[in-house]
Amino acid sequence: MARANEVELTAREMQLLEFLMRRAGAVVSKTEILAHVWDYDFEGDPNIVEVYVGHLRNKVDRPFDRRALETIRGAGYRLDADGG
Amino acid sequence: MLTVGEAMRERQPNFLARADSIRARTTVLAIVLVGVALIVGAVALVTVMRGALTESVLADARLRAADVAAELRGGTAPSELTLPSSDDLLIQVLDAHGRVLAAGAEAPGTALAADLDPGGMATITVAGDDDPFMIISASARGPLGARTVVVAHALDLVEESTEVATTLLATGLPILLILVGVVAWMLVGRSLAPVEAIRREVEEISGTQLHRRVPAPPGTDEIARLSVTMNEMLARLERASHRQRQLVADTSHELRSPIASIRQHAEVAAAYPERTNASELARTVLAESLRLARLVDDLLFLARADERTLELKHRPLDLDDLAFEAARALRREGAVAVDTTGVSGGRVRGDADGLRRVVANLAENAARHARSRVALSVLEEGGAVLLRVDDDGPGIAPADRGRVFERFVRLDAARARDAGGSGLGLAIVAELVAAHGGTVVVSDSPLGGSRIEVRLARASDV
Repeated sequence: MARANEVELTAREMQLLEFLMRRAGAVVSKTEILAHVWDYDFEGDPNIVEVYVGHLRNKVDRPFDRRALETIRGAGYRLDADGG
Repeated sequence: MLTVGEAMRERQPNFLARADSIRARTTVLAIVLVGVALIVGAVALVTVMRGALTESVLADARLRAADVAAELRGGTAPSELTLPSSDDLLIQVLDAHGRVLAAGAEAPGTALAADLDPGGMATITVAGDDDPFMIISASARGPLGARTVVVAHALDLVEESTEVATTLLATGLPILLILVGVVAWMLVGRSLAPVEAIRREVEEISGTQLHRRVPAPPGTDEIARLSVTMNEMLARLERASHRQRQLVADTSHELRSPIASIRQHAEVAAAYPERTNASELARTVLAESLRLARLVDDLLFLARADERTLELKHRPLDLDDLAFEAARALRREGAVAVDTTGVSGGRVRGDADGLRRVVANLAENAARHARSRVALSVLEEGGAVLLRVDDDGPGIAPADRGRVFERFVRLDAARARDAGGSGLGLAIVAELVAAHGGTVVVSDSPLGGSRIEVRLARASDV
């Protein structure tokens, strides 16, 4: 693998990407993401998911000109199984 | 007791006496420069004056020769000529063979300069006279044949004038140079005197006399500015020294109480072993030694921060994770309710351990002062990430808000120590935030107590 394609993720981004990849192709709700990636009794600002999805897009989608991480309005997010 | 070096200085208290002093060097330089200029000027003056006088003697001689030549041309016989005569002026009329046909009363009977070309000039000495003469000749072809008029004019006036001028200059120049030297010595001495005063004062200021200041001469010249700068430096040294002593005193005080507590419990246990509960003793010793360890850790950390030897690894970091971590720790203690609903994503570049310490210290500090609630929040605002830690405690008066980041500052000393703070937590926060290029400020919290807000630069994703 070429070094140019390496992306550095923080621990939380890695957990989020892993969770979305395990559920690739399926729509996952914000609540599910919060429960699995953060905590079952998450007590932070739920908006945090959007922030992290934004980070992930900046790292794994945008540099490669892809749109693998979709926002499903009113339902949650979906990671395209084919990589966008 | 004086060391050898001090003894030598004592014997030579006046630095101006030293050969390497600026005063001596400047004086010598002034004398040499003025001396060279004056000598060049004097030589030029004498040369020009001598030239001008010689020129006037020559012109006079030529005039005399022309007069006599005109008479000869007019047909006057040499014997009938009335030749002006003085011991300064010798006139001869020669025929074509160089024989003297007529001569002034003082002139010798033989030709003064037989081989002188008409129109030429030379300097000769005459028998019976010490001074040199300037001699010229002019030809005059009259009705009685070719004649040569020779005029010799004494140069005694030129010689005398030169001598007088040289004597005057030779005595005047050294006097002038001495004057220059004295004036330069005095002026340089006067302008350097404050420097010597400053030096002497600084030499006497030892580590325990940092309250002393060097004398400040009036005005705003270089030396006045030097003394102002020096006094500012002394003030900084004094403050630093005071802080250092204060810190040592505070540190000893802080270390004393856990040590006293351990000792007291151990003494009681030794005196009354039958009444001692081993697990209770162990708990006390453990708690106090943890407090000691924490204090020593904090002190070492601050010492490293002061020496700028903190090892911070800057990596992308989620401040929200650190906030949740700190909140979990507070909730485990269970003393206060912890609100994290304001924690959203906040990506910074920083040292994980360092920023974890920042968040933990702020959270513990808030929990110590809170009545019942602490709120943590993380948000991104423009190019910055804000970490806010709120409590519903008594708050911090605006006048004290800068002071809380100083070491061992407790606004309510007794109560805060009971609550377990080392007095170094916020000082460490301030150091770490500064090391990350951020700022930390205290304000009022919507919860009613104080809010401490850390502002760090937001990290980009690429």
